[in-house]
Amino acid sequence: MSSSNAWLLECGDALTVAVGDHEIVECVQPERYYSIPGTPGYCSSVLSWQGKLVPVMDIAAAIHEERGLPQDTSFVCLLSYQRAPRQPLEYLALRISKTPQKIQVDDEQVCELPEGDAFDLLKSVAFCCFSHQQLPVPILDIVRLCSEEFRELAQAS
Amino acid sequence: MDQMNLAVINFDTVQLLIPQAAIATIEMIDNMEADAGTAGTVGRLRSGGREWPVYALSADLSRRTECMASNKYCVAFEIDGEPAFSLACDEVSSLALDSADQIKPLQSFMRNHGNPIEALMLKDDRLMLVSRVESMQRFLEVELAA
Repeated sequence: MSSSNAWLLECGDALTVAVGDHEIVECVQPERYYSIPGTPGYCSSVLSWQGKLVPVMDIAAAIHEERGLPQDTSFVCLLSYQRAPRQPLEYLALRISKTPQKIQVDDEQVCELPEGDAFDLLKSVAFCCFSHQQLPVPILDIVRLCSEEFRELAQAS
Repeated sequence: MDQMNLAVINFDTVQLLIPQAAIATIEMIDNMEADAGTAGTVGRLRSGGREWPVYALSADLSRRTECMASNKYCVAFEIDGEPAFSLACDEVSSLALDSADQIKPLQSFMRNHGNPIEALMLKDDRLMLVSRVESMQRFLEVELAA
C-alpha cells in the first residue's frame, strides 16, 4: 500500500478539494483584487504577487455562481503548476474558506466521484477522488482547471 | 527592444491601453453628432472629411446608449489608414514603455469569447487593460452587436 501527502482546501459551499503536496506555494489574504471585464464570474480578478498578476479563482462560484466566497473575507491559496515539462511555473490563487490542512492519503481511500451537478463539473478537472471523513474529495488537475475547456464547461453548466 | 508608445484612454473606472499609432484624431466630445440608437453607437464624429462611429463604454465594457457626463473627448482610431471607430472618454494621455516586460498577457482561460482585453499592466497600483484596435473593433461591431 502506498501513501502520499496532499493538502485539503475548503472552497466554500461544503466543497473540499485536494492538491498535491508540492503545488501549494503559500496562503495569503490579499490587500486588493483587480477586477477584469469580460472574464468568467468564477475567475474575474487578479492579484499582484511578487511582480506577477495571478488569476484568482473561486471553484464554488464555477459550480454555482451565487455560492462563491465573499471577496473581502476569504483567503487565497497560491498554487503553482506547469503546463508541460521544462515550461515556466504558472500560478493560480484559489479562494479558500479555511487554512489548508495537510493529510496523508493512501490507496485504500480511493473512491469514485459521486454523480451530481457539483461533481459533474469537477470530474473534468480531477485526477481522481478519495474519501476523507466520509466525504469525497477530488484531487485537482490545476492545468485542466486553468483551461479554456473548463471555462466553457463551467459557463455551460 | 523598441520603445512602445501607448495611448491611455480613461473612461468610467477603466484605463485602456491601445498602441498610440492607431489614433487618427482626438476631438472634443462637443464635436460629436449625437445619434443614439444607431447600431449601438452614441454618435458620429466627422473630421478632415472622414467619419467615425462613436461608442461609449462602461467599466464592464458594456455599450452605453449615451455618453457619461465625465466624457470630454472622442478618440478616433484607424486601421490601415481607414476610419475604424471612436471611443468617448474622460482623458487621453500617452505612455512610453522601454520594455514590454511590464505587460502581462491575460490568460486565455480568463478571456470570455470576444473579450478584447489581451493583456494587463499594473502601474501605480492601478490595473490597466491592454488591447489592440483590431480587437476593439471586432468587439464593438461584432461581439456587442450579437
